[in-house]
Amino acid sequence: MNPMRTPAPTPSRTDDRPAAATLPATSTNRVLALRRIPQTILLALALVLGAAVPALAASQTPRQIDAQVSMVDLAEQDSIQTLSVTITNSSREAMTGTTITLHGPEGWTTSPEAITVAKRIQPGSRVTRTFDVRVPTLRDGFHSYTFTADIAYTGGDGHGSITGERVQTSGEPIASLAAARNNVGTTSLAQRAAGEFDGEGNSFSDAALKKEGVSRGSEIEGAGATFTWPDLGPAAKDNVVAQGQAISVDGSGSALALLASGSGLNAAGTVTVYYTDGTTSTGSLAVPNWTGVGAGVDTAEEVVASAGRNTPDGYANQDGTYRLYAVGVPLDSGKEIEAVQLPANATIHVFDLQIVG
Amino acid sequence: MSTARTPSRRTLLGGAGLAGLAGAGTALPAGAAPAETTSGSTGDSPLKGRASMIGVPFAQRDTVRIGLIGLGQRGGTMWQGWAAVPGARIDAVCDIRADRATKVADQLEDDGHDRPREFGGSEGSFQDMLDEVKLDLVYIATPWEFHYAHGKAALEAGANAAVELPIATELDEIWDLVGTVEKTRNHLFLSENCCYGRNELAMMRAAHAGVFGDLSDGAGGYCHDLRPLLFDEDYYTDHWRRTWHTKHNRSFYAMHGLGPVANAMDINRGDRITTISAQASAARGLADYRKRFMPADHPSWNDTYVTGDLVTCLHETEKGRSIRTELNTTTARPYSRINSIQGTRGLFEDYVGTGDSGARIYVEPDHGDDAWHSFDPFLEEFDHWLWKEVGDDAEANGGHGGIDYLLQWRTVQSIRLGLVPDIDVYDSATWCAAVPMSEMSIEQGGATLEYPDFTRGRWSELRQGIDSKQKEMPK
Repeated sequence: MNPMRTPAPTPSRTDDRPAAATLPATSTNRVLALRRIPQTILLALALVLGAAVPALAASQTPRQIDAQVSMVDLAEQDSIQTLSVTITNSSREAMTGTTITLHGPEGWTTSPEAITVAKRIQPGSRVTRTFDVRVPTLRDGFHSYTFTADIAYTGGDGHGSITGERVQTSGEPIASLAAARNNVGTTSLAQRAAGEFDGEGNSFSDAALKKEGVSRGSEIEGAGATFTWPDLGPAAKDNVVAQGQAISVDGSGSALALLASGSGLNAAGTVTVYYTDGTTSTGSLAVPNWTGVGAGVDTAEEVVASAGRNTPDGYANQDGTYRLYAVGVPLDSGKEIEAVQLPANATIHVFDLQIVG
Repeated sequence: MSTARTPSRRTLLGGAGLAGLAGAGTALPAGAAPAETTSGSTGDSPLKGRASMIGVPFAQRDTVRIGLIGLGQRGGTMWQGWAAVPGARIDAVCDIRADRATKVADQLEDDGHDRPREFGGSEGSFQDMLDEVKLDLVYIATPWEFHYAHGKAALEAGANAAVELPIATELDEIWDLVGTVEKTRNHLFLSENCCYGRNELAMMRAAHAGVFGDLSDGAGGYCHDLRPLLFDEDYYTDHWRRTWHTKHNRSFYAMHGLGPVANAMDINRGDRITTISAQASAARGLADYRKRFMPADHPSWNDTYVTGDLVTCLHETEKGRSIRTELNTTTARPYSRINSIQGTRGLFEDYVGTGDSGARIYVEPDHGDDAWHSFDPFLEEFDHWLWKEVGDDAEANGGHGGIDYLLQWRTVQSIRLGLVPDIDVYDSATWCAAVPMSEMSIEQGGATLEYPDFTRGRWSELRQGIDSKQKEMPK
């Protein structure tokens, strides 16, 4: 297996701390108001302002600390390798008490967990610290590996923390959605035994879908896109069970639309989009269970509702409604897509995928 | 549950000095700044001027000269594997019963090997062998109570030592072996064949690849109905093994279960065992067997058995994982090592599956149907290179399904190439400390005891270990 690529590190992430409270009114107004306030309250206000002003200053200061995470050689499997984290202080203040905590891909071993930089990182200087990483045997298929360095510090630009991230990938994405189909979600009554949508041998009824206008190659509107129902015979693999597969997708647009349904109550996860410029974006995907409950009930757009389903014993649950949904995931507009990685959640079933312009 | 402190080697054997420090991140000029710190390092015992043997390779030898001590049931079969490994040569054989040494020497000669020197006839014969024959590796397969003395003597004679389970039976002896390795610069390691099991190795490699997510729990054990062998008058010479069941209530073979899980969890290579607690069920199995099958004049009727039929050890690790090991050799049951590993994204269980591997698995995102799946495809995906390279030879040359030969082949290869041993004295000490410490815990009502850090603070350093990179055996 050959590593597919090692994209440039994503820019250091800013933390998500809420901004400090904003200051009230103008200075003139503030002076007038102070004359009417008892001294104890003034003292309390002074304490609050004393704490708030530096935080405010930090929130308004541009980030001047940078953290870069190096790469590992994914081709050199079954080895212990060194990964470095470089912190650059471009601010006017020294950084002190700097601690780097490294998180590797899930289940990978890295060591140590954290390094505390003993010395001050002076303005205009940089510091590099190294961690050991076991690069194991990589699994077949497309996979991404994220190394995250959380850096906490005092001084510097005053923000107190920053995160550096490196995403590497291995393997090639699956050539197309059609090539990725791995599940029989729709059957005719005669071929119902092949159905496996929910892991219990149940499946959408093609006859019931047809009553709702859904047949081979028909169009379904939703999430700003026009989907095509798989032009396949009944009992064919017509959907992709999301197991973290990456699928080659060409094009660009504002959103990625998916025609999907769930076979569990938490059919949700993160879609990762890989662009040709080496960057990535992510978005949340949640689709309700095909019976209409579970994750995404408030966000997914129901586009088809069919009566009953095929079970191993025949057409059944006529009073039940089995649904398809359209969901959208935002894209970085203007960037050319290279691949889309589905969530690693096998209760998500994707029937079609389109780019919304 | 109470937490009690157990004596470290510092307490037991005295001494003082600097505690071992974890490796620093990046070296700084002397005096430039305070020492850099890395998270979570605790030293347990002083090095006392000795340098650690972590990461130290074997002294390279083109031909590995091997001496065998103990030629009973175990040593009396393992010699064949040692002799079969390319580049290995058995130069000396020893057993207190001289006829056993002669028998093995005869067989080696009959098989076309050079006749080894023979030693035997007295308790000191092993020392004669070590004094008179220059050896690179001494394999020790004597009864448990002799392992410490034989292992230490081999080290002091300038040889590396591969010791059958356990390397020593008491905690102070284990610490002393760690110190002796550091002093002599020779390696001593546990001959833990189960670590070379095909499923165990694949489980470890899958764990390292993140298949199970972040690991949270592991289990293993030695569940093997040994009753017929324990009561056999010939199998264990002087019924030495049954005698242990009359003297100690402990997990004699915690290592069979602990080793593979420790390898998967990178114990001493990024994590460490911090506690042990143990419990034992009543000792009924041997007495029941004796009542049903042993004649009234059998010497076992003088025995009183004290080892629980099921001895369970529970460990915690620095990273918050748990490990369970079981020992059950005295009741009716099929063989199992109950290997399992559990992480945030799935689990593996051995000896309960279908297919060729006999193991089962459930992991996300591969599976999402709440149903067990055969481990077979994962075994193929994560099969250790040793099995791919030597597996056929192993199954032809060794016992226990080939795991003995793999251990022997890899040991010889490591010496011939001058590699760092897969299993070092720190791993061996960590796994074997559960033997005496399980008894300490049981005696205190299952108390949770602090576990020694034999690496002296260097447990957090990531090292390769048995998840090794493929190497060719020299021609």
